[in-house]
Amino acid sequence: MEKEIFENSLNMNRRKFLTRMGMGIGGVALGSLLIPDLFSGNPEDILQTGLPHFAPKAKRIIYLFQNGAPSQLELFDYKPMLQQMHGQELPASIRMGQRLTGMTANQQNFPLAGSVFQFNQYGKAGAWISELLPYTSKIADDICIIKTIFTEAINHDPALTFFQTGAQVGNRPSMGSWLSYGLGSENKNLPAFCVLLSKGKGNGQGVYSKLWSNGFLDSIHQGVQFSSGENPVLYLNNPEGMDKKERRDMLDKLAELNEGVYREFGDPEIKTRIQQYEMAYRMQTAVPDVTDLSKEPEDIIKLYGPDCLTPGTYAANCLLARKLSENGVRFVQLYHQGWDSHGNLPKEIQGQCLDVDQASAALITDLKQRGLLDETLVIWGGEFGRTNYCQGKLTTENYGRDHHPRCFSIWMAGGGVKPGVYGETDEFGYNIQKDPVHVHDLHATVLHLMGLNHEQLTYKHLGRRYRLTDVSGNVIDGLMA
Amino acid sequence: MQRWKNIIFNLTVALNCMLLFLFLFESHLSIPPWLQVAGRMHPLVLHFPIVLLVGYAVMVLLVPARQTGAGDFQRVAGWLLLLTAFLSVVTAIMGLFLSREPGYDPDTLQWHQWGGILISIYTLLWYVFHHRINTRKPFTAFTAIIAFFIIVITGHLGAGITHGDNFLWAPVTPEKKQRVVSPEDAIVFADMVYPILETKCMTCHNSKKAKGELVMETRELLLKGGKNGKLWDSTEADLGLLLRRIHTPLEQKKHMPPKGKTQLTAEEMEVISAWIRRGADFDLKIASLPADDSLRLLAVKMLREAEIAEYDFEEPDAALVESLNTENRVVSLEALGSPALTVSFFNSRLFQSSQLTELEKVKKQIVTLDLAKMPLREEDIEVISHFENLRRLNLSFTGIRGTNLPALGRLKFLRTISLSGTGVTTPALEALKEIQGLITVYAWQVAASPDEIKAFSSRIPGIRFETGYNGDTTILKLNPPVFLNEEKFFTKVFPLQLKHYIQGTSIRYTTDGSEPDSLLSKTFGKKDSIHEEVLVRARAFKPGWISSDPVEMYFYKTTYTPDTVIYRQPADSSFPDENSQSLIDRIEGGTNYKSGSWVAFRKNRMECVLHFAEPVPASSVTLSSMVDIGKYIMPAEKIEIWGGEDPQQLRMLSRVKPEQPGQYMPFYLKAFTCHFKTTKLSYLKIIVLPVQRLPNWHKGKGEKGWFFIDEVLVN
Repeated sequence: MEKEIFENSLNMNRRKFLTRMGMGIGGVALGSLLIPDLFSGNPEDILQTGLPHFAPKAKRIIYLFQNGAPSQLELFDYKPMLQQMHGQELPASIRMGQRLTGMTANQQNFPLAGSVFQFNQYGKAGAWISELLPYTSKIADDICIIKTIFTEAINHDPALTFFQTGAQVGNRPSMGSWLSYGLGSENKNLPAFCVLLSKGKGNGQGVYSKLWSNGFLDSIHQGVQFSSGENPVLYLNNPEGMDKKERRDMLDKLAELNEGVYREFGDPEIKTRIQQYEMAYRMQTAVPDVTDLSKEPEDIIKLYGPDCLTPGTYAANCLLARKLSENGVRFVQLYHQGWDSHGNLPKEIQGQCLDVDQASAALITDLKQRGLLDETLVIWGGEFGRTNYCQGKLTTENYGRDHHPRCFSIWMAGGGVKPGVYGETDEFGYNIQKDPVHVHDLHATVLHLMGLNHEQLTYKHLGRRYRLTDVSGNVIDGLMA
Repeated sequence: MQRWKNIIFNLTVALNCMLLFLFLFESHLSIPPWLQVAGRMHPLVLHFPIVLLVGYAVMVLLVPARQTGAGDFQRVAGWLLLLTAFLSVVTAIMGLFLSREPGYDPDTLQWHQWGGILISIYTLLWYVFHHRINTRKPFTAFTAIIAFFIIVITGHLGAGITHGDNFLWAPVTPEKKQRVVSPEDAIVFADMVYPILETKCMTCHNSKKAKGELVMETRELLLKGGKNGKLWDSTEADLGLLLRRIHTPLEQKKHMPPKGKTQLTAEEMEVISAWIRRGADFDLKIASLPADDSLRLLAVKMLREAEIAEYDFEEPDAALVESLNTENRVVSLEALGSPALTVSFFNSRLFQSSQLTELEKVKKQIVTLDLAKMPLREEDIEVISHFENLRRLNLSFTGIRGTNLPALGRLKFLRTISLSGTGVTTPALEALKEIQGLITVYAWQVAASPDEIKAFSSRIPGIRFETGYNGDTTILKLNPPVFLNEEKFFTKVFPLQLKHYIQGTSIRYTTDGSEPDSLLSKTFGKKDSIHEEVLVRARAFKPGWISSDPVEMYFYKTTYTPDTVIYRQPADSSFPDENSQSLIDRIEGGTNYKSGSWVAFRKNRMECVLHFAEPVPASSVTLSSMVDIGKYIMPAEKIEIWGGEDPQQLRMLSRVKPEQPGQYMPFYLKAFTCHFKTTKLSYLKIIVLPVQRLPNWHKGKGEKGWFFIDEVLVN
């Protein structure tokens, strides 16, 4: 009997089925009223417009990357305690088992090394800035020194890749590519993302083109490297004997052929290629204008320093960065190599500062006097900091410092940034005491200043939506005016 | 059962009496902690009487009369009502306990209390008379409806206490439209102080209540003060009554806002005191304060512009905006959903004034206009003045003289204008006074001198002038000139190429190793050339600059080039000489040891034979090398030169032990020259021993050093 009852309950006639299904679908329909986006197509559509999500504070970015990791303890993070305890052992309570690089992990002891350079306070916020940066100290009121940025990587390549792409492994789009993707180019005659390289005399670390790669984004968002020398963009000029008209005809014909191939295969990279040819064509007239430094007045040369007309120097790159930026290049990425002072730090860092101090400060002053600093965000800093203990032999005048990811200093200026000093480190300059800023937080804040919500700037790749900030990052209100 | 009913009924009556008593002497109550716990259960317990009463109402009102006659039914219904009355009074007492805790808005609380007591007594009376009321359904219904209203009102007030005013309706109440002001436009009193007073003080100090005879609603009434006198006195240390009351400890009666009301935040206190400290000026503008003023910084923080700035004009037609974009003109919305447009021009060669006039179609929507470097005419300013909502205008390097700037007086929203690098004169700047809201003017390198602008700006306090950097008094050191000659090896006369990138510098040089000076040394000219092995030292000079440091370059002559090179010992596999040409190809290795032109030895010594097809009369051999101590690349330890016409019978011509460095030094290029008596050579054998043991001061002490060579020069 039980079996029959059970079977009966399993039977379903049409009426029962329709009633239940009707109720079920009705319930789902009712529920769907509360989820407006459920059936309304894909959210990536928003990005097609190339508009900021909300009113931006900054329109452009110039990132002055100090590759190799400048020592925060020599530049911005003044620690008299280290001078007092010069030569004494780093207390274990401070280090707390922090992993070290292979270069000092086997060191017998970790003697603290105080900076040999003098510090003074500058600006309304009383920011401590070392004597190595006399020009930067003059713009103290325009910059926000973040003393508590920290990262996850302890070696150059992963750390640099992390700063540039939001991930330690490669193959992700660079920050400039994300901005190019999110906001597009302002000036149609120039790429949205340009890269400039220079090299100091200090111990250097490599800079590779993967750092300005478009990753999985469309290759139109790739960074364009400008080289020093007569042709800043290689192979841009027409070869001898080819005039503008001929070039145009050739490109038209080529585009026609490419269109044909596109119709056949539908590979979006073909479209990109056509666009890039067109961009290169327009760049042929725009680039010589922008890269011509010869018409800069004497005031500008004195401002940036005499090196600013010598191609390939950091100063020249800063001047070029300003010119590119004022011509609507969304993201100008500079790299200056030579900050990796594992040994002989006091001497090496002097040379590096001589290279970058005047021109970095000049860039801020120059943007300001043109009324462009309000809409341009300038970032200065390396991929991590340097240890408070000495690597190698410690003397009163000479020492080296190893990599230190737990806290280091960078500065930002312009575009909605609140000038002053942000964050505090402990008296050993080893750990963060107040207001930490993770690299993801910095990225989120930078995107926010550019009018982009870092959680909405996504790209779907391999079945997952990627962001510059991966799955974390908070906008830091304290950094913004 | 009946006994229990009696007990509970009696208890309910008793508790109601107690409730009234407690309420009467509320101000004298002192609640022990354990009772506070009971009090805090008020929000939990209050649900029970409500549900029970609903249950009762459903039973007596909805169940058909023929079923209600049964005794059981009546009994259950009676129980429900009794429990309602009992739990109502318990809830009310608990609520009374809870109300003694601080932090609740006294006004709402009072009404809620009255409501609670009313419910308690009402349900009790209902129970007492329920048999009589139930004789007629309309009576029951009427009683129930009254109870319903009291409960709803009291419950709503209670929710208001815990969740905040207007909690229920907030999602559907349109938000009060707040005036969105940017810090630049803000008036301290109207945009910062008044809103604080409005939300934190005026619930009591308004024209209806006027507690303490103080009304804060208008400026005049604020100035008048209340029964205790004037509100502020900027000469007093504590800035007067208002702030004294704010800073009085919370427990004291005189503290304002009173205990239980929402208190001022630290920032709000700071705003009020900063405003009073500056003289309580009703018209004080944020923009007139220095950039680092604490009040200004607070203002910027508090008035942070809404993410989409509010504009009161309609969104432009998307197709129209699209059509306005050309190769050199970019027109785009400020952000998604914003009606405002940003317009930028690029590529001055394509610019025409008509491109500006075309923008008239969206003249209301343009808020940012960037015309930097475009060849503008004075008349174009007139067109710009039609863009009525313009906030930012960039006219730098446009070549205007500013005769038409007065037209911009119409732009009442214009906040920032950049005139850097234009021919704008002081009289032209005068016109900027007419732009009411103008805050910043960028005027670097204009026709008016910085001093003139400084004098002028002191007369217009509201506007900040940025005059930028002036290098007239700065004296910097020139950077050294650069050698453009790429090849330092030469066989015949060739032009010396020196360059300095700064225009107007003169380059002077010496060839005798002495320091070049600005008087006696030879001035570099385009026709200068090198004809012998020489060390060129050069410096750059320019009036108004400190002369540069010298640079030097050694030019090596190479008279005879060997035809073949044969290695007796192979070079290091990382730096090989694959086709045995590297030493005689006259390609410099450069500063990068990985350039491919360097041949290196470490394990093996260098031993190679150079062959000349035709015998040559040679008197010296130069080995061009590099030294990079940090990379273990050292000078050779020993060099031997052998030569002769018969490969079997070579003679040693020269033997050199180069000097070794005594400490770390930066990278440098170094050539080792071995001189000997002029000898006819067909074969030349070179033997170089790399450093066998690095010195003790070196990090690789005891290890072998490297020897790097790029060229062999025979003269």
